[in-house]
Amino acid sequence: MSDTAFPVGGFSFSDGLESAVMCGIVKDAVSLEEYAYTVMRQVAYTDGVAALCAHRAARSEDFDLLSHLDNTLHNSKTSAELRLKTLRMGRRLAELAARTAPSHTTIEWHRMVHAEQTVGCYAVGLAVLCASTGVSADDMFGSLMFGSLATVLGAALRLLRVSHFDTWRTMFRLSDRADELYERIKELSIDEIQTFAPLADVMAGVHERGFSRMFMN
Amino acid sequence: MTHSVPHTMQPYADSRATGRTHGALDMLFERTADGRHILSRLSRRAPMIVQQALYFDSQWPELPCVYTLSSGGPQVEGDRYSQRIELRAGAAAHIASGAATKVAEMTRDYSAVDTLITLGEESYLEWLPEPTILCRGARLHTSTRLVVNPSATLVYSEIYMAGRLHRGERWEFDIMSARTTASWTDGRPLWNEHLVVNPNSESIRTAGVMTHFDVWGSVTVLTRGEYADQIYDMLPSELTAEGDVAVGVTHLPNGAGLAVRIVGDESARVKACVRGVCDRVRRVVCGRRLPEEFPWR
Repeated sequence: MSDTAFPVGGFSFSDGLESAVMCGIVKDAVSLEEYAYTVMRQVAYTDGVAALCAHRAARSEDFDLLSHLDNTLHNSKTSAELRLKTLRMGRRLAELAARTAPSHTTIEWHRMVHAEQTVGCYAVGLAVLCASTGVSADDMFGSLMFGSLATVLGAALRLLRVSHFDTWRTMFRLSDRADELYERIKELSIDEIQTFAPLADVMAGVHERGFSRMFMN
Repeated sequence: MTHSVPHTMQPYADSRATGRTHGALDMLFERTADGRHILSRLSRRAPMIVQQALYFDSQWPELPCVYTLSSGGPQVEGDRYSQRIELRAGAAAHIASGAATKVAEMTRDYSAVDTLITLGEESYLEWLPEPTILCRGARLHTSTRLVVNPSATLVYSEIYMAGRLHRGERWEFDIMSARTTASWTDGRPLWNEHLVVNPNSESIRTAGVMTHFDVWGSVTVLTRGEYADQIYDMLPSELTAEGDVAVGVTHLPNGAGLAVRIVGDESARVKACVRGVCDRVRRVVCGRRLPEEFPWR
């Protein structure tokens, strides 16, 4: 579900990596691993927290709460590029979930997003799909972490002199750290989402106006 | 004003802290019937000090400029500060601090600053304080609420230094937690952000976080959409060729305005970027320039 080949468009983003490579902040496998962990950690403390809250709300079919979580997550994304990514992928996911795993929850979520009663962030849509198909909250979190890494590492293959061996080695190493992140964020409420990645924020801003762009902005 | 303990500070909260200063500041700016911009109400509680409004801006002589100060030295454990700034319809003001704010080493509890800025119709505020220095063992929580009329413009800036850099002190503070929310005056939420820096448990020197930089800053520009678009086009998003400062600009959610993120290797460069952003905003919104900074600042 969170592989970049899943047809919601994850392959077309790089989470600022393209600019980080152009500016020389990421230049090899070591700095790539650091950058990928920064992105994964940011996703854990924002989308991850929202997704876990939304998983509970979706299981009890509390659509008002889902909409509140969705809007709060959206408003916490300072970067216009990150908002574009989460909304584009989230809206596709809502449609895909309603069509391929139809249930009262997925169909109602798709209707709300389509009717613009809620913005439709990807992490909340993923929680709706997982909750209605019996995927547990911790498996969903693992999927979200995998997706965040797959985006950056997939983009790295096209931007850097790194091999598949490098990127998958990084994937396995950072996967272990996903468990540690889960333990840290699993009890947080939506009001406790947090962030600190100033250079990644700057790189997202640089990417918005970069003239050499392979990835979406 | 009561300060509840935010979740990020719960591991540090300790009522036995020895500081326990409760400073307060309340300022109201208005535009009078004859068109003057004035500081019409000022109340404060020590150690917060506000000088009288001065009219020294060479590019905008009618603009009241106010310096705030804390007379009690650095912020220490247990300190709680409350700031309320309101601009009524049509008012304009420039607020800065007289010197950098140091947050000192703490062994019990933490220091907290609660700020509420309310902007009425067509009002304009520049908030450009000097940097906050997070000394070894410092614990700081700030909670900032920005409530603006859609026709108003706010330039809200912050600069943080990762220690007393001239002494070689870097990233030795315990925690910095800064929560900012922005909303329209009718209550509609616009944007929320919570920056949490915990150098003891997270690596700071990595790609994507700070690498070799030790100073970070932000400028939040809340303004109407057409102004935001013009200002956006005037601002660079880049890492300079010298690699000493990097700037990124983006549009805030819900058409609220712009967010500018800056990282640098020293405070003067970051401060120059902050003033550069403020200058562009002033040019677009007010048709005036920001004067050169005084050489002694």
